[in-house]
Amino acid sequence: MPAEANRREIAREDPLYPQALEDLDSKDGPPERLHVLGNADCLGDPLISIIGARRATPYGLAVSEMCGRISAECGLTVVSGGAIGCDSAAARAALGAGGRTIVVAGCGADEVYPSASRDVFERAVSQGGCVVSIERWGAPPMRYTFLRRNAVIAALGKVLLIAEASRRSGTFSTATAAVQLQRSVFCAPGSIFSPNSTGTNGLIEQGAGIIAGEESLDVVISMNYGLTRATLSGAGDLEQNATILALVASPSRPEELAWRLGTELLTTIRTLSELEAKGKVCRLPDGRYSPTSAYLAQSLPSGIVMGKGLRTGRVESEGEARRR
Amino acid sequence: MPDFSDVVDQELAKRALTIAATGHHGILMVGPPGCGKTMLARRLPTILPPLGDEDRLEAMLVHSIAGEPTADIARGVRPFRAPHHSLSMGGLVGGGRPVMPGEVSLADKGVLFLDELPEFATNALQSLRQPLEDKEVRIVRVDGVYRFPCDFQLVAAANPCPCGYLGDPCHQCTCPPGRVSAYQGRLGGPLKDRIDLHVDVARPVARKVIEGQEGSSTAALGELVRAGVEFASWREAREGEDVRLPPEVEAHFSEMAEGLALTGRGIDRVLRVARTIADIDRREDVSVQDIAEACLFRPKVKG
Repeated sequence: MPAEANRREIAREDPLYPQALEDLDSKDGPPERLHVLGNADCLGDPLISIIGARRATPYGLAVSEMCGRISAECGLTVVSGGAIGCDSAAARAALGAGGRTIVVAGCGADEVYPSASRDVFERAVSQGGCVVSIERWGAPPMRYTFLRRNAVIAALGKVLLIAEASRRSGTFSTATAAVQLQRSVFCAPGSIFSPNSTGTNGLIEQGAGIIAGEESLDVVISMNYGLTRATLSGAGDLEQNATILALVASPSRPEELAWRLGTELLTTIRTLSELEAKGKVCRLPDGRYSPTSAYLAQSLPSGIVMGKGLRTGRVESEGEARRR
Repeated sequence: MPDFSDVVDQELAKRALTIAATGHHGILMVGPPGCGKTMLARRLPTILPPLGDEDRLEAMLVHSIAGEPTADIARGVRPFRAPHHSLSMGGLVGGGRPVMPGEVSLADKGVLFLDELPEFATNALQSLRQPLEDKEVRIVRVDGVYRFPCDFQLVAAANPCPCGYLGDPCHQCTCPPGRVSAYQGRLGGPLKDRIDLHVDVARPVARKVIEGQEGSSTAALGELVRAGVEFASWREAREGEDVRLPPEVEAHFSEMAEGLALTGRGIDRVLRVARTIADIDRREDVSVQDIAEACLFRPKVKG
């Protein structure tokens, strides 16, 4: 159990209480008290929320990782829910890039849920970020707490990035809350045939912003926060063949792939197996094959990072303005 | 007689069953309900090599002890047993008073089909290990030892997740991801080292079913199995059962094994399956392509 000194309760009158949460006007109103484990000061940082479905494909994970890494490189603090899949992938990428992250827990801030994300909860605290919860200390995770939690994630970030979500995932409730709170919502588009992307594609259809790649995310961050990072562009040097290009477009089963490429089934499964051994494709739990997130991350057209946290125009964040 | 051409749009599964029939490998099919796993399994006896006279007598003997009809076996049809998953250990391997042969022995020279594999009691599955190894069940009682033959082909089937609809384009899976991985972990269970082939079976495309598009038939697949079995027995008589790889194939395989993080047992299994694939093609040497294909059918369960 971490030291008591690490814990802090922030009431609404407290200067550290994020102003952004005052926008919450659900039936409970803004939470009266925040329970914070770790460095509470980071609540005043420029915050960006990155979320996505728990059941993510390697594509969704790669997008989350890209968003988490770039946000951290721009000097933003990443807010996420710490769930399996996209949330924890984004948080890990941000931590890996030396950034700070805030985990908004659905249980008490001193509990860990899900246990598969224990490292994210621990590193969030040890790397200068924090775990935040509106539940009391030691509260167990309950179904209904996650809806409240999602609204807090939506409110905290000035921008909400959604890496991948189907229409029925919990991510959708966060997106709805963000729209009601008038936060900017940006989604990574996915294949229109992928059931895991119906939610994000649907949001784009309804007017959400699009993240079309690294540069596009850089633009989103510089427009909203006035922060940027220096990059050098260089084309990815990658083995690309018809099989893997078809899988990048849409993860498929071997039979489907053979039919689409017009090749023999035996040839296709042999190619898939070779690509799997090279770590370029992997098998999803439902039997489809998809490019691995490592492959997708490499294949991004630009990406050598030279510096981080460079400021462009001086745009004050809300937190800074308030503290002065 | 059921025929493989009745099963539409499942060429990958048919390929896996052909390999299983040729090399006598255990096979696990994973797919959503209604995708044709049971249909596929029921057709496996039709592509197994024809029943020899001695084998037929043995299977008839077991059936007559158990009081089961023997007419079909007398006609040369291999037995197909599909016990329900509520089956007890005694019902599976034999027992009772007086001692009766269990499902494994009734499946002698035929196919034992375990549908909904994760639903079977763990102790029942555990009791299968020895019979699978020895091809014989021994039941020791005060009045002596009963021996029943049980030389069967193991076919198992399972849903991809507890609700069954994971990866089905027409249905939404309602299982939380944690339960899916727990369920898939149970697929391995006590039989994991007795099942050489894993194949994912998807729901067939409706259009192909309505059009009645035919894939490979029993006649075509049976011919592959027959040729493969014949070639394998000729090869084994000449050089023994060991699988030897040409040096360049060996180098390639060790690279693949590294990439896929195969365990020692996994390597052994891939080699055996690759050998069977080469047998079906009547080739003396295992090629790189055989290895690649065998890797795709490798069990996906961790551990």
